[in-house]
Formats: sequence, structure tokens, C-alpha cells
Amino acid sequence: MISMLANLLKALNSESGPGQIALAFSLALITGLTPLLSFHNLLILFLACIIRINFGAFILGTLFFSGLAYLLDPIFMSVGESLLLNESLQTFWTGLYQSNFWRITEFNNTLVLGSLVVALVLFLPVLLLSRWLVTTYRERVMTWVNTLKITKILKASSFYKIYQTLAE
Amino acid sequence: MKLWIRWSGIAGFLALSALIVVIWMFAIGPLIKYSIETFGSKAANAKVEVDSVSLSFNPLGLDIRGVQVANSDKPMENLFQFDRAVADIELLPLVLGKGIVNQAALTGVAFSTPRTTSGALPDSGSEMEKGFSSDDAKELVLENTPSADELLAREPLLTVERGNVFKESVVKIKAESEAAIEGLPTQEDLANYKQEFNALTTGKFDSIEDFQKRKKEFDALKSRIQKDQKAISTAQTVITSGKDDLQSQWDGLKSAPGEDFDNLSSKYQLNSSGAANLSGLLFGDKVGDLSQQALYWYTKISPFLTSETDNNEEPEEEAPSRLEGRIVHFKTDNPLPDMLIKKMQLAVYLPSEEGKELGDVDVQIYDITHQQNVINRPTRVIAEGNNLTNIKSLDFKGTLDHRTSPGKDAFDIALKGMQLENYDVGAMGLKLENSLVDLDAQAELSGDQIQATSRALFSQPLFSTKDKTLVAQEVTQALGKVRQFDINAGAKGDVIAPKIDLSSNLDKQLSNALAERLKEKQGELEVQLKEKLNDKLLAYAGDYKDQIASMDLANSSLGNAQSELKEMLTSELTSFADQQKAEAKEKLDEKRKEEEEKAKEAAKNKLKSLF
Repeated sequence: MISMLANLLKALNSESGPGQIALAFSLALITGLTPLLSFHNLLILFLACIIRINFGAFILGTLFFSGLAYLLDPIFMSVGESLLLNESLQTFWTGLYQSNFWRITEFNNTLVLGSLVVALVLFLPVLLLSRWLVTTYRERVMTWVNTLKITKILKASSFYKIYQTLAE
Repeated sequence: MKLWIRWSGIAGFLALSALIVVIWMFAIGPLIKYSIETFGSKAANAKVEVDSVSLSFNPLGLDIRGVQVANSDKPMENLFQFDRAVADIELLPLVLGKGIVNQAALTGVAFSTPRTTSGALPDSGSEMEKGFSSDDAKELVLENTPSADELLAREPLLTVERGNVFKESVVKIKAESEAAIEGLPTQEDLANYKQEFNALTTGKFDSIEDFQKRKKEFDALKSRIQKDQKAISTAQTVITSGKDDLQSQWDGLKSAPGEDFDNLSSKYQLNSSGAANLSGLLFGDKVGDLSQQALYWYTKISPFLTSETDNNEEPEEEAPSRLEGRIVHFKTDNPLPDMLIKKMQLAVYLPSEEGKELGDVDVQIYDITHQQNVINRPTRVIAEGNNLTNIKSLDFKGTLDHRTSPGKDAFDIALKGMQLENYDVGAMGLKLENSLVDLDAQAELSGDQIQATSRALFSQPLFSTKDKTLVAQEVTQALGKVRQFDINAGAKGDVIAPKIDLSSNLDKQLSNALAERLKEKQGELEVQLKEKLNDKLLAYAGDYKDQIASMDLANSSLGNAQSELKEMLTSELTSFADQQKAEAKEKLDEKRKEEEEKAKEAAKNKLKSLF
């Protein structure tokens, strides 16, 4: 866990583009909020593997959003329920239901559909927000933090040594 | 673009995916093998063994080889086995965790094959609940046909019962009679009475004192005679009453052998109606065995067909589960239950007899699933005989419908021209050497209730028996006259313990055929019984005759004594009065004569005076 956190800090402080870190968080939003063992998460994992994003941020983000999902599951289920039982969408869902491929996606599971829709809706805002946060952190916070006396003390600590070891 | 694409990631992803697939490929076979053996053993309550399970990829399928299911009741025998099962599985539903098998083919299916090792589970008992066997029926038959001596020894007989009462009565009445006779006057006493009487009544009274003295003695004698007379009357009453009692009991005793015979005849059905339930005795346990076997298999199979929604709840109304969500189903032509075998095909080879192949039965089973409500179709079974040696045609149709609760299962079997040979009937050592059988049977099961009917028509039957008992021989002879018979069996009620009815026109035919033979045998037995019962009667008759003769003699003797005493008393009274009257008359006559003489003299004197 300490290593992962170190990786995140390293990524934040490294030369990695803010967009790569932000995209990692955004993809983690989907894997974290939706049930992990879902077909669409295989696709997300594939994207996470082939797109040059920060993998540590992706894993940490997944863990973070998974924890959040436990609290939000009832909301996700009600969203999925309302969508799946929506009269105007019945033809659409029934059409998808005829295909084994779409049934593999478990679109007819209230939790899967509800959480996926919420995650997709939040994808772009989270991407933009996290990108802004990374940029702001680097421009303001990191510079300010480096001037702090406590930072200098921390840099002399064992935690920083681990961080340095991983950074090399 | 190069900045954003991580080529090593593609390789990593593919490597990881390949690793998962390879692990799955190697693990799935042993996992399925383990599952079949573990859960199969629990279901069959005996060892289920699988040689190997492997995956095929084009098309995706399972190849299961060497499956043996041991018989929990006979551990050294397999309930059934098959050499190979090939199943064609749909891939995409499998990813969803749905085992959809388009077609499964079983080859080398055989039942009741011997095992080299015991198939019993370590902690399972193989003791089978013992039902009513053919040996029991045989014992029952033999038990019901005892000899005359056994019958007489076994049963409480009225002849003996009344005979004993009669014997006690004879002793009692004899004692009472002897007691009554004991105080009575003997012949000598009677002679003395007569002598005394003569002495008192003959000769003239010398004086009034003499008269009074003799009168006193006479009264005393009279009193004694009257007392004896009364005692004799009492003795006569005792003897007459005793005799009547004995005669009445004797009448009852004489009718006892007849009543005993009737009772024995009724109890042991020594008449033609006793054959009315013979077919039930002959075939009842066989029908029971077959029913039990059928129900055994049904109860094994039935639980696997029970729908998850047997409570009629729609899938859409499943209670939502947090963190898992709720599955919403839509109308589809391609429903996906958790497990479905769309078509299973197997050929069952009938066990060969004496090295002779009997042929096989092609079985096709459609829509095997425990979620019939999802596919909205029942499970159907169709079986057809193929190249059967001893059967002209065999057709079986079954529908197991568990879409609603309670489930409704229906079976229909039609079997034509089955050559039945050396069929061990069971009871009385009977064997059906040869017969042509047509069978039609239907059964419906709903919930825990069953209703089944069947009719088996046996043509040109040829029976034999190895038993030497009289009944077995007689029944075999009677069966030899039967040209055709049917057996109608029905089961109704609780599926675990249904009420089984069995009827047959064999009963009537046997009844008629046996009637003559039974009549003869009944006659023989009747004669034997009557002889033996009469022997018992005669044992009591001796006492009776002696006693009656003795009582008659005593009664006669007492009657004579009574008459003599009566005569004495009457005679004595008459003689005494006559004597008194004679004396008075004599005195009056003398007095009258004197008066007449006096009157004559007076008249003479008067006349003399006139003249």
C-alpha cells in the first residue's frame, strides 16, 4: 500500500502528463463503481493496459471508487431499475436481450447498468476535474510544499527513501 | 500517438488472458470430474466414478468417459454406467455461468453391471428395507394349506370344548344321581315294609287298645313310607333333569364336528372362492417391486427438475439483493436457464441373457433443466426399442412438467409382443415358462400424488412349479388350462406409499379351474376331518351311553319302588277302612236281623192274636 501510494506521489511529481493520470482515474471510476467481475471491465482493463496511463493511479483509483461504490450501490440499483423498467426503453432492452453477447455484459442487472451509466456520465467530469487537480497540484501545491520545512524533514525520513528507491 | 499506446501492455494483456485460458483448460476437466463424483455420490448414496473429463474446442464441448454409478443397495453392482458422453456446449452462455448443452450423446449405456470393487460409500449402510418377498408369499401359501391333523391341532375346536364340558357334566350328574339314590329304600327295605304292613293289617283287633296300638305303628310305617316316597320322587327328578341336561349337551356335542368343519373351511378358504385373490398372491409382490423401482428412480430424478420458482413467482419479482443487483428478464426466443441440455441421446443396451443379445432402446430426452419455467417447456422423454430380440415393439413417452407447482409428470409405455421366458413368479415355486405379453401402462404424478394404471395381457402362458406341495401342484394344473389372462395393476395415493390395486381375470379362470379340484380335495379333507372329529366325539360317547343307561336303570327301578310304595299305602288304607266298615256293618246287620226277628215275632204274635 505504501509502495502504491509512493507510486502515486511519484506520478504526481513526475514528468507524466496530467492527462495520463486523469485518464487513469477516470477509467478507475468505471472499474471501481461497477461490479469488478463484469464483461465491460475486461474492456477497461484492456484499455488500461494498452493506453499509456499511470497504472498505479488506476489501481488506487479502482480501490477508492470500489469503497465508494458500497455506499452508492442502492442508488446505482435504483437508477438501473428505473432504466430497465422504463416503458419507452423496453423495445431497446428486449432487442439487446435476444443477443447472447449483450447478455454477457449483464446489462439487465440493475446494479451493473445503474453503476455503469453513472460512471459513464461522471467519466468526463472526473477526467477534466482530475486533470485540473493534477495540473494545479504541480503548479501550486508542489512548489509550495517543497518550500515547507516539514517537507524538508520528510525528505530526510525513511518514507522518502522508499519513495526515492522506487523513483529510480 | 506512440506516446499514448503502450505496446508492452497489449502483450501483457494477451499473456494474462492466455494464462487464464490455459489454467481454465487444465483445471476445468478435473473440476468437473470432481464435481460429478462428489455431488453424484451424494445424490446416488453410492460411489460415482468418472475416468476422465476433457474439453474440446471446435465446437466447444465436454467429453466425459467411463462413468459408473454404483447401486447403493447392491454395492458390487452398478446402477448404470456409460462409456462416453459427448456434450456440445454453447460458449457465450458459459461465460455467463449458464451451462447450455445443445446436444449430448451417451454411448455404452448399461444397467446393473457387476463391479470389481465395492461401490458403497465409507459411512453408508447398504441394508435395504425388506419388503414382502416371493418367499414370504410362498410361505404364506404353504402356511395356509396345512394337513387335517395340523388344522385340528392348531385350531380351538368346538368338539373338544363341548366334549370337555360334557365330560364334566357327566361326572357331576353322576355324582348328584348317586347322592340322590344313596338314601333311598332298597328292595330289602321294601320287602320289610310289606311284611310289616301285612302284620299290621291282617287279623282282627282284639280290643280298642290293640287297634290303637296297631294304628300307631301303622301311622309310623306310613310316615316312613311317605318319606321314602318323597325321596324317591326327588331322586327321580334329579335323574330325569340330569338325563335331559346330558341329552341336550349331547345334541350340541354331536353337532360340534360339523360346526368345526364349517369354521375350518371358512378360515382356510377350502372352497373355490379361495382362489379369488390368488393372482394377487402370485404377482402382487412383483408388481410391488416394479412400482418401488419406478418410484425409486422417480424420486431420484424429480428433485433435479424442480423449478427454482415453483412457488409461481415471476422472475421479475425476485427480491433484490444489495451489491448484486437484480436480474430483469425480457421476452426472448432464446431463454438461458442456469443449466439446460436441449437434447440428450442415448442407447440403452438391454442386459444379455445366456450370451444372447436382447437389443437396445434408443432414448431421447429433450430440455433437461431444473428451470423449466425459464424455457417454458417441460422435459420430454421418448424411448423406442431397436432390434429387440424378444419384443416386437417398445414405445415410451414421458413428460416431466415442473413449470408450475405442483409439478405434473406423465408417463406412457406400450410394449407389444414380448416373449416372456422362465419368469420366476415367486409364489409356490411357480415359473412362467413361456408367454407372449402385451403391456399398456400410464402414470400421472402431481406433487406427492400418483395415479397409475396398467394392463398386461398374457397369451398362451405355460406354467410350471418346482414345489411339491399339493397346492402348488394343483394351482399349476389349473393354470395349465388358462389360455390367456390379463393383469390390471393400479396405484393411487401418496407417491411414497401408494395404494396398489391388482386385479386379473386369471382369478376367475383359476377359480373355475380350481373349483373342481378344490371340491375333490375339500371332500377328501372333509372326510378326514369328520372322521377325526367323530373319533373325538366317540371318546365322549362312551361315558354318555353308560351314564344314560345307568340313569335309565335307576329311574326304572325307582319307578317300580314308587309304585310298590304307593300300592302299599293305598292298599293299607283300603283294608283298614273295610275292616271297620265290615265290623260296623256286621254289627248293624246283626242288630237289624235282631230287630227284624223281633218285628217278625211281634207280627206273628199280632196275627196270632187276631186269629
